[in-house]
This record gives sequence, structure tokens and C-alpha cells, in this order.
Amino acid sequence: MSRLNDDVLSGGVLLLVAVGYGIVALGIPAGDGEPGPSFMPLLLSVALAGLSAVIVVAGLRRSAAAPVAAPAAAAAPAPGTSAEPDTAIAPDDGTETDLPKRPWLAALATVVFVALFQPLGFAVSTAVYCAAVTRLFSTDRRMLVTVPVAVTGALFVFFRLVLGVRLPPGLFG
Amino acid sequence: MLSDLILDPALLPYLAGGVLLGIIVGAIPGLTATLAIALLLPLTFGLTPERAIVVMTGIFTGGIYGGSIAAITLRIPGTPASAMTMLDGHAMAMQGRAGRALGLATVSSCIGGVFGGVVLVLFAPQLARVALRFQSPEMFALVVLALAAVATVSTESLIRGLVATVLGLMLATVGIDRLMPVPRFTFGSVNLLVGVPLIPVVIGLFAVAELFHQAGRRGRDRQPAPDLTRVRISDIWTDMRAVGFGTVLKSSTIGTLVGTLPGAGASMAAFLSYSEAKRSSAHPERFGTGIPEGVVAPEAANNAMTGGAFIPLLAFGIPGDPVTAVILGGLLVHGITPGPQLFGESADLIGPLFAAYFASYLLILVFGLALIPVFVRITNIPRPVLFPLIGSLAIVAAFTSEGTTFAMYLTVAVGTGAYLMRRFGYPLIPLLLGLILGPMLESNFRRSLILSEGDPLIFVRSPVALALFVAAVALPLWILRAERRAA
Repeated sequence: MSRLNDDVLSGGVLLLVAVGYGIVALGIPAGDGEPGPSFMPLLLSVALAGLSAVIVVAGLRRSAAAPVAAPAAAAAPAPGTSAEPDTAIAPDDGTETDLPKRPWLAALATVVFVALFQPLGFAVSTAVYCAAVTRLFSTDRRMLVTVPVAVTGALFVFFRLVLGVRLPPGLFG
Repeated sequence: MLSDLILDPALLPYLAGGVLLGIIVGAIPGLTATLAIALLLPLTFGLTPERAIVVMTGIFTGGIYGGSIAAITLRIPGTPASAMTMLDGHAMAMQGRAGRALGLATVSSCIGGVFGGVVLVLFAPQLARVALRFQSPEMFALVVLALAAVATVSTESLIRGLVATVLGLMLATVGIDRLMPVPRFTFGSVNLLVGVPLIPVVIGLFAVAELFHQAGRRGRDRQPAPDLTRVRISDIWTDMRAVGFGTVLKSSTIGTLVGTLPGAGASMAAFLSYSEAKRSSAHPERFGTGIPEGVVAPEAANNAMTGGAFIPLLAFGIPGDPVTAVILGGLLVHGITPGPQLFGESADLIGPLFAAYFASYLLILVFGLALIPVFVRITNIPRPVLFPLIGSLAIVAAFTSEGTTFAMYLTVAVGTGAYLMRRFGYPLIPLLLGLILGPMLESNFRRSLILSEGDPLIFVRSPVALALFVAAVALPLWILRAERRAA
């Protein structure tokens, strides 16, 4: 996706966030006299609205100046000033998102995992989730069995036996 | 005082465990010390505060050091901070000197780390004494300076950094107001009355977002194994002498200073130190071809950074880098509020922290020189094993932290949001700092105005606050100008 669309889209979403947050903030009692509980939220709402407007305008202006968006390489950060100094990932072979649907499949699998965690219990839900995530990273059939068993076992030993955490038993309860 | 710097032997297993975990996680490509501490935070709940601090310190120093292992042997920086080490370190490995490069990285990491620690021990208590005299306006100004610095250094786009900061501050406003009993943004949920819980947010930001991000990338399942030659201490000594003590000292100083700057972490320390070593070198053209300076400079700097990063954390309660930001979260969970009061209220915890810090580098030296081949093998985990482990560990850890399904959903929600932020070029660290420092910012701001009966001039009447505000404007401008000149 081009930087232009990124700016307009993300700026637009942020603007909506600012407005929504601001509307809720207006409902907070202001307190009397000194800046009360609603003061900071209103200030933040205005600040985010301003910042996101700048991003949207910059995106629109760039689209007017150059209809063909700049290549993504131009946005690649220099070493040491990377967008995420200590969380960014080491460069893989493909630097751009290769498989645009996969992150959403991973997110879906994770939500389903959370929903099933209590009803099915730790062991079953974790094993199913691990199989789903393994499938996203590999087509190796053996791994679809070995990884869920190994990971679920390792987590059980760690959380239940070493740390003594109560995990939902679910089907085994 | 000096006796405080000797680690209680009973704490040694915890420290060794933390250091080993840190090295392993740091060395696995894609996993950082930030992620390691985020995932392991809930596991420290059962420990005493003293042991938890020791474990977290070990993960921090081990994690920063561990990044160099994959950078040198696999040409993949284990952490972004070791990207500079990769240049000359991997070149050395290609010439059959992998063992020497790893040995050099180990020794210079330890020298840098100890240097940062000495500065920490000397300056943090003094700074804390100054900070104790700070009133609300000065504290407010200090938080503004910290947020301005982190918004500037964590991304090239100041606007995007500021957006992330504001989003973090917004998250911090959720829950019952601290000065008046009024709920804000809780939408009737009991789970949000005390505010957004920190641990699920941290896990979401760094572990879950990482999983989603990696799911969208192709990658080799397994890296080719490097050939390792036995390290000889005499070779390392020869190389260190060739590099010279001046370079080590300069790199350590740069690293420590970068560490004290909120938000600027190991990557920036390594980058600046490598650039400076190259600039001042008699033979800059040989950098990148596999020379010892190219390994020593970034490794000394990013490990010195760890000591520097603890200084603002302990003196002001403001973390100096992303990992200390997560450590701060961990300390809060254990009922410890970092800041100037720490030296009075919880003085018995400062000694073990300092002791653990120095002992961790001793352990790194021992582990690094003795166990390198083992680490290299362990850390070469295939992605189809690694990411199911991270995903399920993240969710189960979130459950453990609060014991609620809500915490797990929050983790996924934050992870999804963080994934989108990364994808659209917004940094995550300012958001975390905003969330952590938000309450401090707001309550000091409002308390100041209550004190002055609404007169905003209270913020500029104190010379200290005024100076901090000037710095909050000048520092970003100065950094942006320096970056533009370097580009």
C-alpha cells in the first residue's frame, strides 16, 4: 500500500478516534474551578484531532503533487533510527508484507482461542490454537501434531507445575 | 555502600536464570529483550519483589547482549540493536573468525555494561536527591520533556511519534479519576474501573503484534548453522588492544548517555557509537570488512546503555529505554514505585538491583565465553515452532496476570491495534510511555493549577521547570537537525 493512502486512511481513522473520545469526554463532570477530570481528556482529544488532520492534509497534498505514490523503499528507515528501535524485527528475506491475509487469520485464531479458553479448558484450546498458528507458518504435516503437543506440554509444565497457576480445566473438569 | 554491590548468593540462581533466558531470547532472531520481559512479567508475580527485580535485570542485560550472537553467526540481528554489530561481526565470521568476533562482542559488552553500571551507581542517588525537591510543576515539566524526547527518537516522523504518545495518554485516562471519584471511559465495565491493566497491554504491544506481523511475512524455516571455532582468550586480548581503550571508553560513554534519554534505546546507542568510531578512525574505509572496532564499538555502547537507562528510572521514575519501560510496569505490579522516593522507601531493593546488574555482566562473561556453541544451536528455532509458542504463551500469560477473560481479549485487541500502528508507520514505544507516564503528567499538571489557584504562570515561575520546558522544545529540534545532517 502506498504511503499516500496510508496517511489519508490512518489519519482519517485517528480523526474519528479523536472525535469519539472527545464526545465521551464531554460527558465527564468538569469539576468546579480548577481543571477537573474532563480537562485532560478534552485537551488530548483536541491534540489528536489536530495531529491527525495534519497527517490527512499531508497525504492529500502529496497525492496532488505526485499522483504515482513514492515506492515503499523510500519509507524504509535508516539503521538506528528505525521506526521501532527495540521492537522492530530483524529483516527477513521479504521486507514487505508478503501474505496480507495471514495476520488477520492469526488474529482470528487468537480471538477464537480466547473465546474457547475457559469452556474447552487450557489443554484443548491451546493445542488447537497452536495447530492453527503452526499451519500459518508451515505446511509440514508432522509439525501440525508435534508442535501443539510440545508447546501445550511445555506451557502446562511451566504454568501449572512450576508456577502453580490455576488453569481452566474445561473438558477435563 | 560498597558491600551493597555484592549479590546475595541466594539470589544467584534467579539472576543466572534471567541472564540465560535473556541471552536465548535476545539471540533468537525477531525476539527482543522487551518481548522477553513482557512475556515473562506475569511469571515474576509469585516471586518476592527482590527476586523479581533480579530476574528482570538479568533478562535485560542478557537480552541486549544475546542479540549479537545471531548477528555474528547467522547475519540476522537477534535484536535491532545488534544490526550494527552484524556488519563487521558477520564479515569476521565469513573469514572464519566467528569465535573471535563472538568473544570480542562478549568482552566489549561486559566492559560497556560495567561502565554504564558505575555511572548508574554514582549518579542515580545524586539525581534522586535533586528530584526529591521537585514540586508538581517541576515533575510535570520533567514528564513533558521525557514524552517529547521519546516521541522524537522513536521514529523519523515527529507527528507520528506524537500521535502514539497521545494515544498512550488517552489510554491512561481510563478508570476512576485520581483526584476526584469520577469514573472516566469505563463504559460501565468493572474491569476498567482501576484503569487499563498494564501487563495485557505490554504483552499485546510486543508479543501479539509481533506474531501477527510475522504471520504476514515469508521467512526461511531454518537458518544454516555457522561453523564455530574455539575462542582463545589471547586472541581476544590482542584484538582488544588493537582497538584501544579510547574507543571502548568513548563507545561506553555514548551508550550510557543515550540510555539516560527516555525512549532512546540500544539501537540508537549502537548506531551512534559505530558512526562515531568510523568517523574518528584512521581507516574508516575498513569498517564493514570485518574489523574488531566494528564489533567493539556497538557492543560496548548498547550494553552501557542498560546502565544509563536505569538512571532516569530510579531517579525520576521515568524509564530510559523501552525495556526499562516494561521493567517499570513490572515494578509497579510488585508495589514498587520507581522514583526519588525509592531510595528512601525501598532502599533495601536498590542494593540487590545494583548487585544483580554487575553480577549479570560477570555471568555474561562466563556464559558468553563458555556456552556460545550451545546458544547458537538453541536459538536456531524454526518459525513454525517459535510463533505458536509465542502466541499461546502471550495469551496464557495475559490470563495469569489478571485471571480474567477480559485481560485476554484486551491483549488481543491491543495486539491488533499495535499491528496496524506498525503497518501504518506509527511507533509503539511512545504509546507505552504515554500510558505509563500519563497519570504522573495529569496529576502533577492539575495539582500545580490547584496550588496556584488556576494561574498557569506557576509553570514558568520555577527556574527548573522553565529550563525543562525549554529542553522539551529544544531537544527534539536538536535531534531532528542532527538526524537531517547525518542523512
